Amino acid sequence: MSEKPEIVIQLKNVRKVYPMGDEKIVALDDVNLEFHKGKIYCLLGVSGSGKSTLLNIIAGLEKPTKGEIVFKGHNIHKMNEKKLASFRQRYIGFVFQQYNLMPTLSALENTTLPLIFRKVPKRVRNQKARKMLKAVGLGKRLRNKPSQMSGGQQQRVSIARAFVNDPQVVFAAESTGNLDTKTTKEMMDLILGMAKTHNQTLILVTHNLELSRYCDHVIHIRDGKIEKIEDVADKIEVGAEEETEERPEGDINE
Amino acid sequence: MRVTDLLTMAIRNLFKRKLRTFLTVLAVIFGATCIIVMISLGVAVNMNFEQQMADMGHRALRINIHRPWQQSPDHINTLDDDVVRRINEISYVHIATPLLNSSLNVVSGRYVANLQIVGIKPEAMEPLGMIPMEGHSFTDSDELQMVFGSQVPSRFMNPRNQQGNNWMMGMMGIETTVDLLSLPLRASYRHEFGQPPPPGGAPPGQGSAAIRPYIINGVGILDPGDGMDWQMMSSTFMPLEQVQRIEEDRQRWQDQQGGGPQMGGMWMDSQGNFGFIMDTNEGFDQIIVLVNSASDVRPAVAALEEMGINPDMMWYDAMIVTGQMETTENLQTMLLAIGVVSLVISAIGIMNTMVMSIYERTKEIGVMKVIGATVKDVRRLFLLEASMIGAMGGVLGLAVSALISFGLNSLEGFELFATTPAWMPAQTAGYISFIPLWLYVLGFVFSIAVGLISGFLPARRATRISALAAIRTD
Repeated sequence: MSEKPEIVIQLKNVRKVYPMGDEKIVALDDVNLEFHKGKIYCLLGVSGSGKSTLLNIIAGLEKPTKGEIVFKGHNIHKMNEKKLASFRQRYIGFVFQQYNLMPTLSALENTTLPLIFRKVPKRVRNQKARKMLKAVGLGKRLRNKPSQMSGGQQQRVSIARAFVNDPQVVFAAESTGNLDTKTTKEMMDLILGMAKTHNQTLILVTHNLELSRYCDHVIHIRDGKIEKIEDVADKIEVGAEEETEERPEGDINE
Repeated sequence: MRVTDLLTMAIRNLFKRKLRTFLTVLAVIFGATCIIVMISLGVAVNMNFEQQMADMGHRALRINIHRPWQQSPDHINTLDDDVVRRINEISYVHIATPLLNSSLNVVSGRYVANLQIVGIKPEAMEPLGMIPMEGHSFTDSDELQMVFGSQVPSRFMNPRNQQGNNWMMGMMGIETTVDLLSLPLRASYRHEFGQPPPPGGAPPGQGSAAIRPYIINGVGILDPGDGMDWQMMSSTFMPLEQVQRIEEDRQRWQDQQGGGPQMGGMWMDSQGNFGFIMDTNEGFDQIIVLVNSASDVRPAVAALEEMGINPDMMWYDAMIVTGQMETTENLQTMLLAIGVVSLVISAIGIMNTMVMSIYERTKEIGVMKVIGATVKDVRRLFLLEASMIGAMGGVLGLAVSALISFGLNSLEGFELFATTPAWMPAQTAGYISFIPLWLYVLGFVFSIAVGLISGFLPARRATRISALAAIRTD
């Protein structure tokens, strides 16, 4: 705890209010958080707890009503659309729950997409993407379209795409929710492995307690507030049984 | 995003939905074809017009006004100096000059001919393209002078030779020459002048000794030019004042013979109206109007009508061509209307296709934004897709237009413009439809523009899709 790695993202008094007719819904209320380099975080909370809103705000997809988000010295909350886009191009990788691959593009092209937006020359980006796809075990599937691949394979392409631009932070939103338990574990191992290798910060958003075991820190959110931040490394020694009791049934297949 | 990447992506997206893209493109093809064919017809007509005008040379710029053969209360009935002066004041008119017709029996040595005489102001000859190829134009001398059309020498015949005139002799291989320029000619308005007396002797009171013939100098023979101006080639020209004098002599002689005003004959027009032709010597027989340029013909005709010249009395060679132009203009207006309507519809089609595609691709667009696509990237992608539909429609439309154009042109003997009067030599139109290079370029650019314009709103809509759309789970 004494030699904490550098802070990548810092949230200060972040508040987000959605107007809903006459009423106002407070999605986030005075959130203060720090994310450190190379660590794995889990945003845990039930539906409507505000975890998705928090993710959107950290990734610069939504603006906070109040407060500051500082990402490696950049004030994200002050950026315009164009700057945000280039910020995402450089620093952020996304793994989506539903893979969200472009149906018209091959595995290789899908993987290169973030680099395409960054105007990286074709030769360079294809080289990087090929390496990434090899790393996720799809070295022989470069030319396949998403429709010619299984769910697991598509998810691997999605992971390769998230890591291809060598991001500082990778977000994974319910990233393995659609897959069976065995594949889920494979995917998690893959994502964790890649994040660890490159010393990247990984932020998982889930309501699946099971997944929180993979994380260094679990951030519990309830009603837009940070309930508690757990250090999982300690927890694992205490025993996982306690935690699984709280797990809502059928979450994996939801 | 790089342009090549944008292109690849746009093409992939369009090919993903082939049928829909094809149908949208089809609408553009239809619209583009209508408009291109329309313009090509206009281009061809203008080309033919210019060609025919160029072929006609001076004649294209000429409007002939004839002496009315029927009194009309609404129009000018007498072509006099005042009318000539007023015509000369019309701004389109380069020169207007009167002509007076007469006829003389002319004798040159053993040969004689009855010649159509046209009195003309000497200064008008050159502007009207009457250039001597032999001899020269009229001099200032008071002597009677003649300038001959190139065909006139062959009109002469030896009356003692029954085989016919020099032209017919020439056809039979008998070379005869008549020298009209070096020897003085003798001429008279009497028909029997120069002819051998009939077997019964001269008719009473008409002895050839009774009237002294005119002594005339032939000074020049005109260049036939392109050989199409029959009036110029077959007429004999004299200074206007001299013809006026001869006509006065003739009138006096006729009065002495006891003949009053004569009925020249009957006229009948195409509507079946008929009457007697006036035989009056008042005014000129013709006024020739020369306008400044081919495009002045129509406005000049309009101005002349305005002035009170009977339109039935006007004749101009450009008439045939301008008639064609009017027919084409009608056809063009129709095609333009169809073309504009179908282009508007195809623009709506493109818009609809793009909006549909945005609905389907909401999530895709969101993902692109999350991954790092800028607003500009998204807008450009959609604009590109829309303009590619336009471009494809344009290219195919041009191909179809070229086929239609080729088809129209190769329909042999097909008269799209049946305005040529039957008695005129057939005007062989070079092209019915012609697509010049600039029209290909214009058609292509225009189709892209239609795509771009109709893609504008959908593209803006696409840029407004929130990046969050990608993450939301439905």
